[in-house]
Amino acid sequence: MTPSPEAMSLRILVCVKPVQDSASGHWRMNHYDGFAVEEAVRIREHVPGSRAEAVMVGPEAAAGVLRRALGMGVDDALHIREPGSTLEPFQIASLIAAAVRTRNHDLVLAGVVSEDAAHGQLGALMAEMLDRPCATAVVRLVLEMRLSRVTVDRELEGGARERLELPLPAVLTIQSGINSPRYPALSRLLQANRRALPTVEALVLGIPPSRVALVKRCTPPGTRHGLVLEGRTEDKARELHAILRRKGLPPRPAGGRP
Amino acid sequence: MTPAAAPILVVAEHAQGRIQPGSYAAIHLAWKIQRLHPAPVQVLLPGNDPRAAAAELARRTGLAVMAIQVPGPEPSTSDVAVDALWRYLVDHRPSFLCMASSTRGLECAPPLATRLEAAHVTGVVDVLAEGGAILMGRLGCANQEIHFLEALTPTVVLNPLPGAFDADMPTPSAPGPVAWHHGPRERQRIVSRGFLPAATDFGALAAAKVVVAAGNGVGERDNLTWIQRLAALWPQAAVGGSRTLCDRGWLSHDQQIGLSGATVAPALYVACGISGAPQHLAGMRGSGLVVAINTDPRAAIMREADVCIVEDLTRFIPVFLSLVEADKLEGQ
Repeated sequence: MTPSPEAMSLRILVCVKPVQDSASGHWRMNHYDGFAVEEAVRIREHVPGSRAEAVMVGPEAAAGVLRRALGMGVDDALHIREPGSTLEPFQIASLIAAAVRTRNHDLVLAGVVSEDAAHGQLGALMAEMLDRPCATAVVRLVLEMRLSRVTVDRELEGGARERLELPLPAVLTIQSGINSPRYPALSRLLQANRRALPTVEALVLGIPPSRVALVKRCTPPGTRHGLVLEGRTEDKARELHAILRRKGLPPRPAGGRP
Repeated sequence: MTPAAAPILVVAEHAQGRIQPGSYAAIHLAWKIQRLHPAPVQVLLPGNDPRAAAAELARRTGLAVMAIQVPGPEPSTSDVAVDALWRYLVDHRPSFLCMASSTRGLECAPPLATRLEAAHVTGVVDVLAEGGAILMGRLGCANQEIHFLEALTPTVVLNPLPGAFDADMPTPSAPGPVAWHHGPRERQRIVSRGFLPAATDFGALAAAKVVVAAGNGVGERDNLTWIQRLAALWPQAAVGGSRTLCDRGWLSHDQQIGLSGATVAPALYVACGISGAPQHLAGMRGSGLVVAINTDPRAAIMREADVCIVEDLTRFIPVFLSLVEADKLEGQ
């Protein structure tokens, strides 16, 4: 993030999603949202007087995710409590939009996608619901406060990029790799743990009805007939070696004969 | 229920004079739906001046193409494209609206679904008909399952998963007709300052006959040494990896394989500690022999591999290297 020198203050909202570990049941912050939180905190640090707020839709047990965002440096947090974890993206966006609509954030940030469901819809949905311009997959952003504008480079297919200018207020989804998300500061985490998080129940905000129903699940078919090598590690290594030789792809040790 | 006569529409994309390849995958998805749910398939192509691209699309697909002119500066941006498409769609509501899973497609689909009050399913890997309904499959449970969803709305917006549908076009018997839809100048808030080519050169990866790729399963940065030593067993080999490792700076961005990096098709692809995220798989599916080394037998990469080795790479690779070395000594 590069701020312009003529900075005024900004109100930043960053959307985070709790992701549940299938083995432990532990809730953690969606990997991609870490980059959005870091970007929000960097803007807040560089633009005096700015405030960053994190918002999350999720169960009570996932509150630690918001506390992590506070530990990373956001000023405020809002927990929209919803006990289930199967809301559709437009339902999550509707809840967040209903909660923040009147708060007039200058910049709304979200991760580019969630690591569990991988819908990749939230940012564009928020923009539509809040009537803001939107750029997705942002890998570089420059704020020009005097012009009330943000210039971004966003990632296209194959590593190409497009440069866009958006007037503020705007919604951006942040691509991974734009920054290195910091570890939460211990002092801030302790502070966050002592603090009651502002909460609002999703039912109070109103959850719109689902638009899809899960009918059935199945195992994805393989595209190749994977041969699973059996036995001890040495047996598997020997079998792989034989397969590679049969396929005309023999490995040669460094300095070996051609 | 879906009205039988409502068309299946595809929104195609073009930029810098070429059709975005994901548009063809969206067309294949539309054709697959059409086989289950007979309805006309038509392509919409928004753009400042999409005439040449519309003619090319009609010629390559044989489908009817509606060029939707988006007045304003070139290249047109998502905000005006969405408004222009919406003006058309409001009078021509489709049963299914298929869009590429490109950055632009995933940016335009959510606002259109919102305005159409439509169900929106991204990452579609399959569609099937069951009980009179069209079910749309997408990956779930860390890519271990396909979840088939039924839409509860008359219109459904779909983005196919990259790589799940063919992007090659059969030669049509005749070009499709091209028509025009002119709209008013829309409120443009976003300004495009143009395109920047990929900052990295994927030449080394693209030219390699053997690619040894590392994923999050390498654990520690030092373990990349094993990946490099494994790659050194073949001439014309290159080391690549997943986005996660490139984001961490463990590998350079010209080593990134997947949708936002290089697409490779070597004779041998060795995936080490790679889980098999769809974005990565889309960049290596054309490979010859695929070997996967992973501690998780259920990892998605195992379904894409010819040879599956359920092992910790830090244990397996040293054993394999020793074996190759011993084989060399025996052969001398």
